[in-house]
Amino acid sequence: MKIFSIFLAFVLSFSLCGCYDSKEIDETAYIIALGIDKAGSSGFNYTFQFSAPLATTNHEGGGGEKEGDSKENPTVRNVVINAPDFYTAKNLTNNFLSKTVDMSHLKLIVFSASVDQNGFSQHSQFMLREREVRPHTAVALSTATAEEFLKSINPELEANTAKYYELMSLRSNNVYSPTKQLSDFVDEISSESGVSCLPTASPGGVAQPSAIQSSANGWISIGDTNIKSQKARMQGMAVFKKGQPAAVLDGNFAMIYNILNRDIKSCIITLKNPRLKDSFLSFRLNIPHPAEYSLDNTKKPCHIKISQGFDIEFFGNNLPSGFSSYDELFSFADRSITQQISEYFYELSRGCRADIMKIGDSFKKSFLTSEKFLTSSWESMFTSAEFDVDICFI
Amino acid sequence: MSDINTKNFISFENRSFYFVLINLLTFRIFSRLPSLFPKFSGSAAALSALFSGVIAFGVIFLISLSLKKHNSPNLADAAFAVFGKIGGLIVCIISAFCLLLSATVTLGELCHLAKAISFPASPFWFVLLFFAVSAAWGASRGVDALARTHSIFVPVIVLGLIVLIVSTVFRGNLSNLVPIFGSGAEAVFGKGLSGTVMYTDLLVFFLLIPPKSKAPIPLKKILTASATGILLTCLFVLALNLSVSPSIISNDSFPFYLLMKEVYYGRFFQRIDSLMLLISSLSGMLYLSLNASAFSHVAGRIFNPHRQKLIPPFYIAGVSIFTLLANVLSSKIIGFLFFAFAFAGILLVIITLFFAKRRVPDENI
Repeated sequence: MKIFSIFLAFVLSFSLCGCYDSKEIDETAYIIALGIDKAGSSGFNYTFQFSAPLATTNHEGGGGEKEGDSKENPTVRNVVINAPDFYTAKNLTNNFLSKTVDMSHLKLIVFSASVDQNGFSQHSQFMLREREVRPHTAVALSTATAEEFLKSINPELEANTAKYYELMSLRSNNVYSPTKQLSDFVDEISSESGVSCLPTASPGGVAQPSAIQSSANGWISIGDTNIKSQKARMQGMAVFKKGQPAAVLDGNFAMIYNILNRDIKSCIITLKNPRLKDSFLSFRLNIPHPAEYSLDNTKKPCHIKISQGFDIEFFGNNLPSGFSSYDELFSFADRSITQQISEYFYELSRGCRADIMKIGDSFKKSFLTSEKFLTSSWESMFTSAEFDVDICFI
Repeated sequence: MSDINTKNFISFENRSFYFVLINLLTFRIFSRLPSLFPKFSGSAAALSALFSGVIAFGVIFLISLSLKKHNSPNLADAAFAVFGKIGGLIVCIISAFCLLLSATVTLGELCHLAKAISFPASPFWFVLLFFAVSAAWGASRGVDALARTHSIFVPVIVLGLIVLIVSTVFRGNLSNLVPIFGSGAEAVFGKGLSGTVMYTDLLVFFLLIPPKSKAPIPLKKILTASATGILLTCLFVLALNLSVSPSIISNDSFPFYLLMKEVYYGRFFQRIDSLMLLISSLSGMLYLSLNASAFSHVAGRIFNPHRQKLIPPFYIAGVSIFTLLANVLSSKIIGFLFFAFAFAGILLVIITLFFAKRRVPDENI
């Protein structure tokens, strides 16, 4: 009996290695990004971006744009397939690929704005359920087609495109673009209001779409800048309502979104000196905690108070001319930031009519059941609310 | 019963019964059953789990009190003593059905979970083989050996669950818990009661405790072990409630698997699939072995076989065939029967133990 049990354990240990599920790395093609575009009345164009690992090792650290350099990214291969659904498209890849397609390294899913509500909901939901796809995969909305965006990706100072996506999308220092993970996106668009937001991804050389611009309130706006590069970029954010894109906001608004959610821990803002022409004032803002919201719905319209603390630091050796004291300088900074945040909330409330800051969550606490919350018409309260911004410098 | 020996029962003399109880109360975490909580209660899933847990704990407390009063009556023996030969046989037959259905559902779900985590390309029967062979082998080694195996592996399983809960609970979204009564008090406290099915496998424990215990019934330890198992289940549902939106959890999804995918400690530590596969498989194998042993006891009382040791391998083979058939045909009927018999089984325990007015006489054993 003992010999039989030793024999059984020995034989079973071999089968546990997975006879059927064995996977050889050189026989596997890894998808690192997926683009989804609407194609005609039914069906989609799927752009599969595969990693080319051998090219990655030969391609030292991406590259600048030297004269005569190819714009194509040698570390990836893009394959575009038109199909009625994702799995048909994935199966079709094996018509010309000898390797097994694997999505365990998928870092980014890019939708184009042409995808309808069902397309967003269905694709993101089944991606989340897909065994190989992680909930932390980044999601973005392309301002052109997803195919154009993925084809224009050629990372700067990064040989590994998959790592580039991960750093750009999830551990980003990019203040002008929000970050969104697949699980959060699915969670938000499958809610009753279908409110969410995604970073907007623009292919290089393509003009930025008509995003809603902030009036800047004396800030040096993202609209005043220009990147002399043909590289693809992530800037601004798309606001979703009822599960589909409702508006695109510029990078300044995205920056406020990041600050209030504390998705960035610190940032530098530059303001135009109102008392001296062509003079600028730069401040570092450290964000100790996310914004807090309190709601007073006894008033009509309801009042929403936004409280945000900052650890502020002025970049300059001396008190700038035109200001008699540092208190006056910081009070000017306070007014500018308050104005910018107010404008952001009024744009969300009156323009986009979408509560992407999830203020409704604090309102939800005052209800006992979901049914009562749904009948409370939070949306109409939010779209007519008055916003009081309270900035506090620590 | 001639071939009764103390090695074929869960002994109260060492601590292994403590771990047996914890595994019996927590192994359903690895099934689809925890999805009942968010399905019925929405944002109040954790509250509903807590309510079910309190009810279950109350029932365990009452049963344990009765056990102490009657000095450990094994369920089958108590049934024969209370209801006579025919009544006892009926109780044993119902218990056998409970065990069979529970084993079928468990084996099927374990195979589906293992396939979802690590073996998507493997055929169902191939994955089933791992669990079936180990369960049959475990059961053939005797209950005492199995209980001692529990004391080795259950701490590992509990540790794994704690890692999973801690890794996800702090990253969760507190707003997922409001409104506090989710789909309404009726759903939370009414339909939510069906969540007590998570704990109905306690039946196995009452079928495997010795008819005559040398050691006194450790009421405190039984309650502590039960509280630990129930608390772990409630914490798991809380982590699930915080991390995964109820709209994402469907009927056919494994909440354990959904929660496991949420673990993220950065670029190099985010896939703890192997660890989770290990603990879910261990927990399931231990339960199946114990289930087979309990079936062997019950079958022994029904048929009085001379070779009781041969029952577990044949039983597991039967369960495997039944699972394969259920997988091919409709699992809905099996699911319904499982629910019906799970509740009937635990009701039986309560009734039998409460009507047991006298200690089971030795000659009846």
